Amino acid sequence: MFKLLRFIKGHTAQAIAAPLCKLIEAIAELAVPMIIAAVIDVGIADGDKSYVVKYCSLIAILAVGGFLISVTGQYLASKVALGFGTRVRNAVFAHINKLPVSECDRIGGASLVTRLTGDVVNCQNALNMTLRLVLRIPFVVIGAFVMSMIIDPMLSLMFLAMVVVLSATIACVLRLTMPRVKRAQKNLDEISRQTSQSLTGARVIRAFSKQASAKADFDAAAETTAHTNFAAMRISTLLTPLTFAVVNLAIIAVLWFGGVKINTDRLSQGEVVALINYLNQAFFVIVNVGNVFSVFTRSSACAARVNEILETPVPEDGAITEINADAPHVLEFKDVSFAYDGDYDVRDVSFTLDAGQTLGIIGGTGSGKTTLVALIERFYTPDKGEIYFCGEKLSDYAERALRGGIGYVPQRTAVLEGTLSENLKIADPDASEQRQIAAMETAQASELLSSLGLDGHIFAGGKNLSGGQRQRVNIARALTRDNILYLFDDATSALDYKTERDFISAVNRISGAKIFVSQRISAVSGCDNIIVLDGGKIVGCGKHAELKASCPLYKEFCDSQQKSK
Amino acid sequence: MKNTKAQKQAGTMRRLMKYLLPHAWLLALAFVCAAISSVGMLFTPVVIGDAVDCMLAAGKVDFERLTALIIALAVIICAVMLFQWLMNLLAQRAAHYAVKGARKDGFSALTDAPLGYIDSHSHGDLTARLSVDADQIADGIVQGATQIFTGVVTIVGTLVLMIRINLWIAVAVAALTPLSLLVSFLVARGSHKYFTRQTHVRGELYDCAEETIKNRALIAAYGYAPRAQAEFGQKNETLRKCGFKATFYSSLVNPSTRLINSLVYAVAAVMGTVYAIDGTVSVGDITKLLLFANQFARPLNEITGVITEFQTSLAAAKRILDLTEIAPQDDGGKALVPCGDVAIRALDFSYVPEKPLIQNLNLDVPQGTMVAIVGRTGCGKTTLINLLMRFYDPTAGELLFDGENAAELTRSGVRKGFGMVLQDTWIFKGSVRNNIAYGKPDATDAEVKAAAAACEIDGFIERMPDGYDTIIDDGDGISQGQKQLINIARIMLTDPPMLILDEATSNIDTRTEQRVQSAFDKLLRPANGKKKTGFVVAHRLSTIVNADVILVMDKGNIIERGTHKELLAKGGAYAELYSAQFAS
Repeated sequence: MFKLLRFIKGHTAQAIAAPLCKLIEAIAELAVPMIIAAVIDVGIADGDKSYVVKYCSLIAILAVGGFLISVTGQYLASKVALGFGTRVRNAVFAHINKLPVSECDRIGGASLVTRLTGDVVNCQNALNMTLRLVLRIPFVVIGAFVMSMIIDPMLSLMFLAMVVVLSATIACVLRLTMPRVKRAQKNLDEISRQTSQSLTGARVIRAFSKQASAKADFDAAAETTAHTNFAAMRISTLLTPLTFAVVNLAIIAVLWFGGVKINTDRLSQGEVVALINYLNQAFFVIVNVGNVFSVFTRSSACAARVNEILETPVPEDGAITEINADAPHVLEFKDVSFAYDGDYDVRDVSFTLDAGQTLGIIGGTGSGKTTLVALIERFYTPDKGEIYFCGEKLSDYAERALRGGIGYVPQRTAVLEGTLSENLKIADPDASEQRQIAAMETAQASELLSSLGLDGHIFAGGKNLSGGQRQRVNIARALTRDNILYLFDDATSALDYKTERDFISAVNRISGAKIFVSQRISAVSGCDNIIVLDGGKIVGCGKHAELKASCPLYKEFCDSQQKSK
Repeated sequence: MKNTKAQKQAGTMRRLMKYLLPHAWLLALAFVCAAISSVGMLFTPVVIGDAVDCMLAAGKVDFERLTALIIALAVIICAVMLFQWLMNLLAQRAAHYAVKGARKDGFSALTDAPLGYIDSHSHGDLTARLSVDADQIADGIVQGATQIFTGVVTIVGTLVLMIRINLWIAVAVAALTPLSLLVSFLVARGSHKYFTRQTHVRGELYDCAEETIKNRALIAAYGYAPRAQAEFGQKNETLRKCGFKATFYSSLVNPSTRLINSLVYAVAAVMGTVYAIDGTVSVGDITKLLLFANQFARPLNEITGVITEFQTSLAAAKRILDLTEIAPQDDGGKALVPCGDVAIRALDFSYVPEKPLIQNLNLDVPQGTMVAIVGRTGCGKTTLINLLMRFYDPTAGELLFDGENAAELTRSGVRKGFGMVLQDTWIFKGSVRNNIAYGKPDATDAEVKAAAAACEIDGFIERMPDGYDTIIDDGDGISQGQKQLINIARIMLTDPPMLILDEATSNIDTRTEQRVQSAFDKLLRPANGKKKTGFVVAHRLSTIVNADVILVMDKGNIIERGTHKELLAKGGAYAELYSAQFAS
């Protein structure tokens, strides 16, 4: 949490002023019991009504003053907290965008989103609470203690004892509760897991008529959850009664010793009342500690998760900003190996792709096809070997320049919420309308274009499009600008064979080298060169007819897909 | 509008009573304990005040009475402590076991719900209802109920005790304190619109963040980050502005109520001391009054929070209670397990009435026929499977199994006649053995192994850390193909007379597919048994050329039917599909 405090910068003065306001308010509050004591000891004793009215108006004035100061404090604290949260969010978002895709994959998309959203809000709330509430606690406790010292040093020991016992009680109860709450949480997760499992398996469960056994499993989990929840509660519900007892025991002590002292004229009646009031004031503040503690534990965990993102280093970018479009070899792999972790997922891969040529990459699931594409896009960096793009090392390019020359169509279709045109213009913000229409036509998406229109709205995640339509929008996006190299990563898997064939012949009329990655023979068979991948290694390389004769795996693919011809 | 909301809440409360009533005696006891501890708490200031009155001045301290009062105070404290704890224990016990009941019924209703319900609701949302929402009932409603009850006891009791000391001071305190309620109500109403706005803006910002992060590769590939950052920054700034307003306005509640309370305190102090000077109240009474003023204010200060939480919890309770009221699918009475003759007569079906899908479908499938269904996405292939399995019911027309109308048969009976393998595999958390023996829990080890061997997955299973006892679940660890083979082994073991294979191989790579395919062939055409009736939906046409009859579907209708050869010769839709697939 402390590391994040640098984001307060710009609000430093307000961040100091806010707790100061709270300090002043606390002092105003602490004065009240003293005034009451004076009223009792002087006003009542002397029967002086104007004295009483005068001092009690002072309480009212203090209350109004305290209110104004407190509102100022809240204002400042809200300003600081929201400014802080906004800055942290901007910084985290910017950093995520700078991180290599490999790092984002490592942390995981869902986790990145929760860190950016929920975790930052938790930190923001914790800061707000610190400024508003947390700093108030020591002010009031210490202040009340000092006041009771002024009244009677001996009895203030009672006060000290109460604070210590109270804190110890809260700490004990929390310590005992925590593991039980965790256990309860785990059981709740089990409830979620079983529910979600029986929803995804709804058809299979019904097909086998296993509803009764699913219910029995769930009932057992629900029973355990009720039991562990109650077990956690058994301890935590002790907190209120115990703290109530501690503070009242302290009051008993004050009453008894106060009585003794009054009897020997070492203390006044009003002062005893004031002491009891101070005990109560401190008590009401300390009972909040448990609350504060749980907010802090949670927010420090959140802050750590946010910091992990901010502290992930951004690798240095290359220097080349111009691509030599006339280079004879567009892409060259030289003994490239790469592993996500442990075993190599791509092993000693070498090949060359010349300008204007087409390359097909085929292989089963997990053969390393998509990893290869990720290496070309520089989402990941090879562990061994070197990749050259237009004659220069891939790593020497500035990322923007490199990717600006590659038309990438990801395997997992990606569409953003917005109009069709906005989605196409991701590739080139200045693309003309004709260009967009031409791209849609090449992508075999004329039908979608006429039904949706360039200004037609695409829902978040492309929910109003079919899988095939999403794929075609993705393809069209890459075609909205001129590229030196096109990467089609399983880009036609949701298209029927006829549409796929029409697309390939249309796209081959566009200049630029092309790589088609697929599991389907039909998608690669027309390529100038085909690479067969298995377990990350190249097991065959050549044209369709050659491979059919020379590569057993390729033949197997052909047979399984064309058996009956 | 307001009225209907209140009525709805009352309705939810009534439905909730069904789950609370079995624990009614616990709750009744909890309320008794609450009453005792509240009264005890009320008397604490009284005893303290009386004790202060025992110590007038030097030499005038009544130790005898002081001792008695201190003992009384100690007894009261112990009683309050004990009964407060008991109250919480009883209330919590009732709450958690009531929640258990609601969860149980909710899950049970979901398990019996028509698939239409499950298909049309977000699974995440349904899961949240049974987990998080259910917990809310315990936290909010039961806790809220006891809190409101104690609050009322405290307010009434304090008022009575204050009147006993001095009527006018009591009237002043009782009249002024509710001002804090008014103030917090006004603040809440004022900040409500900022909160609604904040929630809205926050949602937009989160959507923006999620979209960017999810499409990280795309954004990197096309240098879209600066544009995304600009959009995010703008939304973030809007959030800062409305978030500040929401935070600041809502933070006014505490200082405002504190201000009112302090003012009331000052009034009570003035009146108390003035009456003390006149001799009608004692110094001890003033102590009591001041403590009472605090005590009177506390439930009023807290009540807005408690009521809000109570309402949120009621809303959450409604979500889980709604589950318990899903109407289960009606079921026929005859428990017949079909043998393999299937007929469809003039069948109509649609998911939504406005969009008719299947219209006037007729089909005869004698026992032992292998039927292949092909067509583009959305043509109604999977719908047909849904109808055969009786996951959905026809809108009109009938479905006949062995000549009997399906509507008069039990769903479980019909389903027993089918073995079903879908594109989406399903593995539940449990041992491999239990996953395979899902349809036949009493299967022997040898049977399970034989089923695994028939699917050529036995070698893989034996290499797993604990063999057949290895715990697996739907997450990582085993590939899609292996999961599918386990799903098929399940069917091998039950060996039903009819099979449904819905795109069962489209998620696996071609090499594994061949193993899966041979497993299917063994199932459909067993070497030493009679042929099974099969319904096969396939993407890759090569897998279905041997079918007895191929149905080509389009927009819910069968547009062509015949064998592979017949359809190719016909040169229609099937021939076109086929040539597109094998063009080179």
